[in-house]
Amino acid sequence: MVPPIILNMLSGLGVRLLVFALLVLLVFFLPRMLPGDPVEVFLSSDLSRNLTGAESAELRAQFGLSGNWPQQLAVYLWDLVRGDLGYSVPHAAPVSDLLKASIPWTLLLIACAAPIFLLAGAAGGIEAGKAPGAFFDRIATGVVTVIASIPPFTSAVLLLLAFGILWPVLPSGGSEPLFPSSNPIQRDFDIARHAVLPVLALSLHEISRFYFLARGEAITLSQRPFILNACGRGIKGWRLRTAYYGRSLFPVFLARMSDALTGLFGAVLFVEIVFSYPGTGHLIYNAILDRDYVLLQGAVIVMAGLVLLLNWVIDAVATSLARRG
Amino acid sequence: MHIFHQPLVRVAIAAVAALLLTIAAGIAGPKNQLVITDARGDRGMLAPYVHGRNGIGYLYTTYVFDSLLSQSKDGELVPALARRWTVSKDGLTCDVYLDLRASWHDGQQVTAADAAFTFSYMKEHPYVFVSVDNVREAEVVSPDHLKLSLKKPDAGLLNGLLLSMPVLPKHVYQDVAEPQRFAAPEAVIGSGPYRLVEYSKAQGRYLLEGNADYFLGKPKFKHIAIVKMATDAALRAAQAGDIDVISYLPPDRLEQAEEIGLNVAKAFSHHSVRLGFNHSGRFKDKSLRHAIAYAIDRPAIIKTVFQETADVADTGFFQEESVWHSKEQHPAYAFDLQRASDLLISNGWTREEDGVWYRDGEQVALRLLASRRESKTAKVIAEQLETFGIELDVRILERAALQDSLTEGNYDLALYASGTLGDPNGIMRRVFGSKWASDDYSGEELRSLAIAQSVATTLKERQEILGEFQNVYSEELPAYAIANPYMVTAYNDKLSSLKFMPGGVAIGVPSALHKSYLVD
Repeated sequence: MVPPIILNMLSGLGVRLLVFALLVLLVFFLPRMLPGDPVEVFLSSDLSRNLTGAESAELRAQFGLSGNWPQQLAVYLWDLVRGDLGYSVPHAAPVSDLLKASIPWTLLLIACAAPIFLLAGAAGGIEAGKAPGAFFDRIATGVVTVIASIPPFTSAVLLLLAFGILWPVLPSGGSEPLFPSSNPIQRDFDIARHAVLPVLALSLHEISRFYFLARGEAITLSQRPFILNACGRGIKGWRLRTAYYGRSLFPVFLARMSDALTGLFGAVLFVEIVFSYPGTGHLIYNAILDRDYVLLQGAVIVMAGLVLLLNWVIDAVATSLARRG
Repeated sequence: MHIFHQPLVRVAIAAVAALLLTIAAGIAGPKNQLVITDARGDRGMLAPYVHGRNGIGYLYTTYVFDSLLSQSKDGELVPALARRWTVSKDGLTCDVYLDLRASWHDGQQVTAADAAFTFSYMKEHPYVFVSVDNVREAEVVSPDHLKLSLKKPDAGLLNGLLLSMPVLPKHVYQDVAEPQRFAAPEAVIGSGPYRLVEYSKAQGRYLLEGNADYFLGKPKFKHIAIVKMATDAALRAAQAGDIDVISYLPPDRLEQAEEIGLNVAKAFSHHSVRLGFNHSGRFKDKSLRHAIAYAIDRPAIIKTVFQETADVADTGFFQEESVWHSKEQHPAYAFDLQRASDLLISNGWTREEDGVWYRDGEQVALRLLASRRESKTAKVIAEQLETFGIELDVRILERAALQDSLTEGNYDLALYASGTLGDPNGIMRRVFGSKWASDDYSGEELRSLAIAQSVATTLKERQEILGEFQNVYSEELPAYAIANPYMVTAYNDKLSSLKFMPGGVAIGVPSALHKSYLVD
């Protein structure tokens, strides 16, 4: 018999492929509808000379802009099928190289932030939900509500202002010092230091979502016989929180994680821009300003593919767990 | 428990070691290394076809690639790869004698063949900062003798083309079919005083190494690092001695830099903020352009928007302190609402009792386009004109959208900043061109002067024609220059008496970091 997780994965694959296909088309058409012309933006410096018609046409061809939209679309799709994300003329680099250099930084932020907001959200939520209306719940829920109301962009700027500029204990931008150390331990330490503020900004954005989820679940769980029973047996403290509340929360968290992903990848974009962090957010932002269609297409496709993939796996696992009860 | 403890201990040891190393690294600041900060960062790889298509990308590339001619600190033309040159009387041929002491970064000699190759290569693969279109033939007479024949005389041959064109190594580029995609390490083999040893696009960081074999002098520094850093961070780092040069310090931070002991070079950017008119629309008529000029109070704009960071601009295109600026006074269009009214009335405009201007029974509303950078100036101009009774629809647009609207002619007035440095041949595109920051003007009198100066055979003749050009420009007013902002470079004692290059670096980059300051 086919294990249920495989069935779940198969059922989720079709719809995701459809979404991905739509995205591939959307990311081709949307940038082209923006006002502005990539070649003009590329040569917008008043120091560059006026190109002749032939020179201009050649440059357009390098930008993948020769021919009409259907022709450009055909070239773009054919390249994509062959796994070629294209070449960014403004960066003078293949899009895949640019992404290879920037995606690790974005993933680093997400991978560091995820445990923080998941654990802090769960711990806080369970504590508050165990005794709703008690002192801890009143304080924590108040604080988290305030945090939830601050958009990620603002909280990033506030963090930057507080710890990067007013009380400069942490680096205010970039992912590494001016001159990365040749000593690997020192280098890792520097990278970690530079990641603290962006990771915090990103975690703050997500923490409230999971706090409220955990709190709500914990309130319901507190009424369930197995918890009442456990309490009656004198189980408390760490064991009660992890083995009883925590374990029951796991599938709910996982299910929520799958739709939190999109928000997370969206928030990391803002965070990277605020902290001039060299991840994909920066790349995409500048690609929009420069009307670098090729880079924009490549970056969005890869990031969206990544989100869909993660979302697919998490969803399948969550569904299997939920079925198990 | 054992397993949990071990990594924790290791992390603690690493943290302590890291702390010690940080302290040690702070103490060692090598004297023969120069650190330059750039607020923007990545300018592309420093090779002619792949660097960012802007002045700064070009400037950094000149550290790696030499041209035939160079500039002294005073802006005079001096030998570089060419040790001597002569231009024939008719201006149609130019003999260039190369300095055979020059070598490429890979050790090969620079010869006339490389220079000739560059001319033909750039014909085939257009380089956006110079045009080799006027060169009919580049002939190698001998390894050190290059003979250029031109299609027509070019007054900007030396000051423009030969000064600005980076010479490419033939042995590297001859097999490159698509130089825009050539970013391999060999792409940066130049003949300049520094070689590029490391480039990190993501971090916006360059590491250049002094070229010990440089034939025109010893590089002043063993290493030059160019790093991305915002102004605030750069000022703090300069105070701590971590960085040496802030390449473009916002002029309003000048005092702050002086307080922490930095030297500053300050000069006009010659990058004038101009109010352009839509010449194919309402403002075809000169007297209407004059009316708008009289209705704008430029000193008030300087006072409210720029304060100490700019001066009122000259209306004759070239700005004060430019080598091409004529000594004649150009009309300043001093704020005069009566005169503006008279001009409008003579154009058939009427002013109703409510103080609002009408044309053909309709209230006049002008659309003013500006980029975010010019938004404050745009708002003040709008206030001034609205007080005068002309309604303004101000649109602040991001760069690409602004360019689009400007090329589509979807405006009446436009604010843009554009340079006036470099060889005067630039006026062809800056005044008559159709690019977004061009005046997009087509008056015949001015155009014939612009053409006449470009084929002038003596400097004196050229200067006279340009003097006349400035008179006509300030009278015709293709665009009304509002402000000439200052530029500031802050630096410590590793460099001495930096000055912004008169006339701009090569193609006209306003910069105090010409490579002559980086070579002994």
